[in-house]
Amino acid sequence: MSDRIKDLLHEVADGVDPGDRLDAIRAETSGGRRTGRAWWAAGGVGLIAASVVTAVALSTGGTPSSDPDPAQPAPTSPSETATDPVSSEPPPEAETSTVAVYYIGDTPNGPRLYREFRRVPAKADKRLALVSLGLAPLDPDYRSAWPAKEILDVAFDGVGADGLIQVSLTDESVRARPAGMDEETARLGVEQAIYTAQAAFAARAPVQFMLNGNPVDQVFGVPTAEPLAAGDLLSTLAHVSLTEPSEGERVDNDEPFTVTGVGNSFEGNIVTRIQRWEGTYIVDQIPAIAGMGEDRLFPFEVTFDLTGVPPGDYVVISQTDDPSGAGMFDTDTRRITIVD
Amino acid sequence: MSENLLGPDADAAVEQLYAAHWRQLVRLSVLLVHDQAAAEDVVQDAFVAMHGHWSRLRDPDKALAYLRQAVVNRSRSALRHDVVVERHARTSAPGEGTVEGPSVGGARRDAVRAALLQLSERQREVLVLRHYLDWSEAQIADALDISPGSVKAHAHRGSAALRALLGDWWEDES
Repeated sequence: MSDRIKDLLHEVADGVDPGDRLDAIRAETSGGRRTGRAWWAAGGVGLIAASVVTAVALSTGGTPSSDPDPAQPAPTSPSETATDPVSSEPPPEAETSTVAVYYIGDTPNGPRLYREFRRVPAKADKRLALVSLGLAPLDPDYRSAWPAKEILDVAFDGVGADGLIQVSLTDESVRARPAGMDEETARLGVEQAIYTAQAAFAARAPVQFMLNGNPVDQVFGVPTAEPLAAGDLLSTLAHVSLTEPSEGERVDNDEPFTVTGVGNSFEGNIVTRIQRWEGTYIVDQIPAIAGMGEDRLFPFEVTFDLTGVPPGDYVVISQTDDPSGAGMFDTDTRRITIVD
Repeated sequence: MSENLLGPDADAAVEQLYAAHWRQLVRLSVLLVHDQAAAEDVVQDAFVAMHGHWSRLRDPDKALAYLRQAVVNRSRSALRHDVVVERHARTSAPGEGTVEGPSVGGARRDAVRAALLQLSERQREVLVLRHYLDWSEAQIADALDISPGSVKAHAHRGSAALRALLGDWWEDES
């Protein structure tokens, strides 16, 4: 009987002539993650210290006009020039949506999560948010603890904070903490998936990691046998995270240029400035009042007049305030290209 | 650890393992999923994942074991979903497989594939690992994270079910 099964299976298998995917595999495995903190680590500190003085002088406190939950998708859609994360050709506008993906970046207090918006095909948005954790972030300052293609699926059986979000993993290998990954990155890797999954469903429900249909006892060596709530927000997320512009966006200097994001800062104060990519010339800087105190991030928005700003590469920098003068402020940056 | 040190190794491993095992791995997956394009997707993903884990594998035998396990796991998942996500990521066109004209062998192959899909997930996996890859019950138990007794039971019920589903195809030795 078993010989007959063997014959039948081999007959089926031998009838298959596999197509060639070597080039596709090469394409997917070349390049790798971008790394590096680029200019930031190199020499921006003096500049920032100088701008803090302005920030403190302008701070007045205040109340945000709206009250978005950090688990909610962004109120605004990222730019139309956002790079499509999952397809080499961006699908037509009508077929796409945006998802919030949490990546790891550095702050003076250690690594924290930053939120990045990515354009995905509309019908698959919830899974694509999680799958995007395994893709290179658009912003080169960010990184992910997740290797490519380790997250398979995400499902939610409830509404709001009720029910359970299940994140299904493809592979046993993510249970252990990989060599070279420190414990903090491992912890943040788990938080990446929790925050991204909760944002996908706009729900604060606990997250259970699954493998082969069963709860998995650990992910990156972090205990996950029980459903997990998101980690404390202000010690998990960076205290400023830009929504617009997206990395690499082209900006017309004839149009008002609006920068939006979320943050939590001393007296609510967040300063956004635009400076040349090469060098230190600051085009302009504008303070905004977000919020502080509560365990959440508040929205902020500033609009720049770029009239007369020469075309070229620039960087948008939003930063929180540090009244201690010790330079302990969080920043988020986006590179933009200003065009005529 | 620099990616530059890992990169060439991992790339070379992909090339070598692809040359040696791509065809068999796709055929393994074909026995577990609904169509050849899905099987190729599954194995392509397994290779990409293997590349990403090369720093921990660093050995062709371990890498092959990883690939086989990944193909089994991902095939199971591919059956549960229509892999919308992965399809969007494809850079190659699907459906590159061959199309054959009708034949007794072809019809029987179709019948076997249809029957396999009617088995339970575990039965199908146990039968394919046991009879296509020639794995031992202990190996299968380990790979599927079930007890050796369960492997035996799934094999037994799966064989009986397959035989019943195939009817005349089972007996016809042509």
